[in-house]
Amino acid sequence: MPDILEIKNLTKSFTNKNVVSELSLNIKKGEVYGLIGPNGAGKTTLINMICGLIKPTNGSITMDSQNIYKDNFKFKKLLGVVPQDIALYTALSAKDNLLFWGRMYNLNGEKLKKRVAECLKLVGLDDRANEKISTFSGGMKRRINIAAAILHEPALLIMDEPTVGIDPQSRNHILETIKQLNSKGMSVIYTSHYMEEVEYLCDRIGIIDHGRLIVQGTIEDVILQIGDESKIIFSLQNNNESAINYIKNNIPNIQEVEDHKLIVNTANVHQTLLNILDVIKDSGESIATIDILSPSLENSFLQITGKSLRD
Amino acid sequence: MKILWLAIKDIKLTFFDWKAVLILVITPLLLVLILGYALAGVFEDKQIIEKFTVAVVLNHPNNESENLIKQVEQHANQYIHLKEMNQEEAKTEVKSGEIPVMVTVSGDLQKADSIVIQHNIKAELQGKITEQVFNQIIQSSRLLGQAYKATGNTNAVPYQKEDHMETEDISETLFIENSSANDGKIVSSFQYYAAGISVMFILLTGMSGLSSIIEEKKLGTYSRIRMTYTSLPSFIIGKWLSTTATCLLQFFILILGTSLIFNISWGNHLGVLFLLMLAYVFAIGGIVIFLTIFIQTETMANIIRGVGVQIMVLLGGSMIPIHTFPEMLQYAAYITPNYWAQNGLLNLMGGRGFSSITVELLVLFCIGLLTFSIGFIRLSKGEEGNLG
Repeated sequence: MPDILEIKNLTKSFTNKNVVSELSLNIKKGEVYGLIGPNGAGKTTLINMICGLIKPTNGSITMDSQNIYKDNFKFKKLLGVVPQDIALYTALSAKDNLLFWGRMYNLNGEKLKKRVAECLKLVGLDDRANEKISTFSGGMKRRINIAAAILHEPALLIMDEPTVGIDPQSRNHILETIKQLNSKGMSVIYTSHYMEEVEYLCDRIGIIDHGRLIVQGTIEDVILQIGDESKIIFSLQNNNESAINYIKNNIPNIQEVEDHKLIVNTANVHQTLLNILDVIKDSGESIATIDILSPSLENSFLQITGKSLRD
Repeated sequence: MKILWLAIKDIKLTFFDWKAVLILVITPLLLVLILGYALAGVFEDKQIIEKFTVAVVLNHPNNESENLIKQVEQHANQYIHLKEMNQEEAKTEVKSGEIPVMVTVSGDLQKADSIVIQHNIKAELQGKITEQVFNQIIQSSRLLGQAYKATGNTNAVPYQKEDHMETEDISETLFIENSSANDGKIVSSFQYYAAGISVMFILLTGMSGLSSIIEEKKLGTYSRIRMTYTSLPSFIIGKWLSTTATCLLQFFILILGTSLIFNISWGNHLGVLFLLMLAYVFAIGGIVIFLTIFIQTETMANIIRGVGVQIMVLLGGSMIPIHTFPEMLQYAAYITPNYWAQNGLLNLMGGRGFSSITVELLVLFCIGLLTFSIGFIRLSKGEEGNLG
């Protein structure tokens, strides 16, 4: 599938510090691409460069094979952006907001009215069209925030954490809306702190940290690239020091972490678990809690960045 | 077209906010009401004081001095009655209080201290009125015009004060004469404060345009606008347009409100009045765009609105007539747009026409053009400017 967006060797420096460094990635037409990384990784700077809000220090961004800085207006027609902030006028009604944003995209007359009605219906707020944004819940505001970005039917939609701080109902509605838009051929770049959303929505992901793209591919590819071992995490009833030492000496690859929790990485969960139970029985201790973590994107992310996604 | 939609959106946002409407319309009307009533006794539309007698002493009379007295008699007979007498006689009458004021005119009006105004200690107001009358007549009849040009002396009247008899300046705003039509009118307290409060609130409203730009940046709507087809110059002009339109709208409401509620006359030249206000709001719009270069935070914008505007209002004479300030501050008032706007308004309220406000129009237009041009060029550079 051809690329809708291609980023090559992109660098952005602020006061001699590289916030984005030699970053290259590509987004295929019709895919949902998850861009994830811990806070301060450089995601927002990257998005701002793709949107044309800031200019890169080096590198290039091409959209539909056109350099975005050469034909600014053409790329803006292709691009829709759902910012992290609720960038709406809360004193105006939902309809007035969409009419305004539509006009900023050169829509007018009947076409504008039609698109406003369609977008309100898509985000499930057509019955609240004439109510002021200030009376809406956080989730409803976020849905209008999305509607304002798709009025001009962009080919690529960038969504910067569109589900932050909202109720589960609105969150599900937003996820379904994205699926619906994608099914009609819209490409999406999706950033989120919720790994389950990324896993649910995205065809491919890119993990970014310290301004660099660490890994890119399908979720399965990324997990395989990082490793396919599971984790067995357990804690003991009495935390007897001599028993703990006995266990450590008799189970290979065991690590002790905070709060007397013990972790074993293994590719064979069944065999290792049996071995652990035998050793614990021999040590005279008993198990208080036990968790088995299968290979997952969350674990892979933690392993790559050393941080949880929500940190 | 997008510029227009940007401006309409801002105007809608302003008028959807009832607090803003309250500040824009009701507060100035209330202030005019309070200040107008509070000072009605001093500024009544009728004469401030009963017609009074002024003793005139002509030392070495000549054509110039006699002509001056004739003109004063002719133009100011509704306020003062002139009575010619000798120096000693006049001093006795003034000291005893029989006559409140005496004016001594030397033969040579080109000399400094050629006119000396003295008044009884209890007739301070009459003394000031006399001083003002002579000042106005001399200026309008241009008796000394050529001499001033030749000597470079820009003082209107070369006065002298005597220690034992106090004289002070009189508010120039209380008496405005139409030199061409000879139909001079006294501006009432309501008129004075309608002009002062209007220019003050229009200034405040204009500065809210500055807050609006900062708020858009804070909300993220500014970045969102820039992601659309809207160019940065369109955004700047849109903001300028909404600021000037809101100010103009507020001014119309204030004119209508003060005319209908307080029966205040804004003069007989509504077209010229509109032109003056257009120049004023153009200047304010320009200043707002210019300030956007430097003001980046809400706190700074609030300081400008709170403190900066108050300083301009005081300096420009919207609350207190500037003639009461030291000379240096009176010159400093020239840098405030509200000073020029208020001056122009008072001229129009006093019955004067277009010719009386040409300087004001020119100054306001220049302020607007200069500030808008600098602001526009600087901000249009985008990323390098504060709007980037």
